[in-house]
Amino acid sequence: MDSATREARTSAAFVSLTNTLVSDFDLVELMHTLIDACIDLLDTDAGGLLLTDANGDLQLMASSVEDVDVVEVVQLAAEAGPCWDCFTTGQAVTLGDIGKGGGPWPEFQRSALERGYRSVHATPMRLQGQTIGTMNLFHSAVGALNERDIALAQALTDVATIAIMQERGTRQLRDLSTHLQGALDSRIVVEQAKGLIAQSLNCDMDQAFTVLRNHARSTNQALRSVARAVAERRLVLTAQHQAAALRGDSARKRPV
Amino acid sequence: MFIDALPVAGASISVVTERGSHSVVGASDALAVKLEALQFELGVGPHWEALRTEGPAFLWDAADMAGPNAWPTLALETVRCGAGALFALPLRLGAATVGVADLYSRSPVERWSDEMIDVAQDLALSVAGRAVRLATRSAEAATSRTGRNAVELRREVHQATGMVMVQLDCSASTALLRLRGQAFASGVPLAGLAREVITRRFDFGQL
Repeated sequence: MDSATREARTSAAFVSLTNTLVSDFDLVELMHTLIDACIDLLDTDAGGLLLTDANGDLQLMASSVEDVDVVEVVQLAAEAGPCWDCFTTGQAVTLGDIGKGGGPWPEFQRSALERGYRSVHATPMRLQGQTIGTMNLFHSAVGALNERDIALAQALTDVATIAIMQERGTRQLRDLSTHLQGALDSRIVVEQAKGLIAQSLNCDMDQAFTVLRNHARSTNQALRSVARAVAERRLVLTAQHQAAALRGDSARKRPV
Repeated sequence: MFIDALPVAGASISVVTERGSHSVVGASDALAVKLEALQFELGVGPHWEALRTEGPAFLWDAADMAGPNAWPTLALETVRCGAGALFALPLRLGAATVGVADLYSRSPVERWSDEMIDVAQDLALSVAGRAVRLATRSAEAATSRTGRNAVELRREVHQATGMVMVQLDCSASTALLRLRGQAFASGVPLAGLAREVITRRFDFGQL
């Protein structure tokens, strides 16, 4: 992508991230927006966002695709891998060549290679000395991100972190872990709604998510509210919604 | 946890089991256990209200016999046991209710602020996962990894819950219970069964 296009898309990414701050705050949508923006701008192949839960462990809150492979790799990286190190140190962690022998995380490295990932970059979600999670990008080619890309990933991630902490600020009584637990619960509702849609519209989980997300956007509602309405059976998404979502999806993917 | 953050004297955590009964998976003291058992036996009270409505339920003043009181027998027994107020928060995993956190205080209390109720609800959310793990007597119970990657937080389980809701035309609570029951009955891990459902190799509608 040439530099003018990249600059325009970078601005657009910040605008869409900050938009989530202005309207009805939607944590799930925010996290997906962040991952999509990073993958697009930094030209990586997959991404996953992890947040700490009430037990101090990292939970996968959003991933670029539903693909089981991606989910497994991110989960391994969250247990003993770059994501965990990034979380505990609060510093970005890059592994430019996962395949290089003698690395610090053999199980994660083996699993990532098997699934075609050759490099990984973990960015801390950090504010006021506290690390609340990590944003992780995977690439099928060898090579570390350059300085500029690292700074961009951190800047985008910082906006998301501020948004998450700001939402908490309005409800000071809650401590951080219970606040993030609420976020985790939103994630669970989204997964339940996806299952419900996948079964009733006979589609896969990625498409179910697209249907859900598209309906939230086109009706200007928070993704988690729509997901909850579906999971509580107050809202039924039909084949018409599915068709609309697929039209919207292909329109977005069309080259400009 | 509840006792530190809220003006309550004790708490018990119970989970609805695969067989439809309740199993207490943790309690701060004997009175907490007793008050939960009391509500279970009587079949009324905040505990049941929380399960039924999937929202918080309260008996602010058990000693107030003059005011409107939905559960006179329970109120009487609560005071006799030495408690003044009962609080119940549903343990929720997304849209599914898996159990109840029952709290009590020694004396009657003023109605809590909405903010306080939110804090209580968030605490209930943060124990829901662990509670259901403790109560899930399925094949992986002994070997289940705790914390990271804990089975109750795996997305396959929630996706499968959604699919079973359609297959059986039931609520999320019932769907999750059926998944746990089936995993237990056939001796397979919950996450494994969930994956079978997602890949459409197992359909509850065709049992």
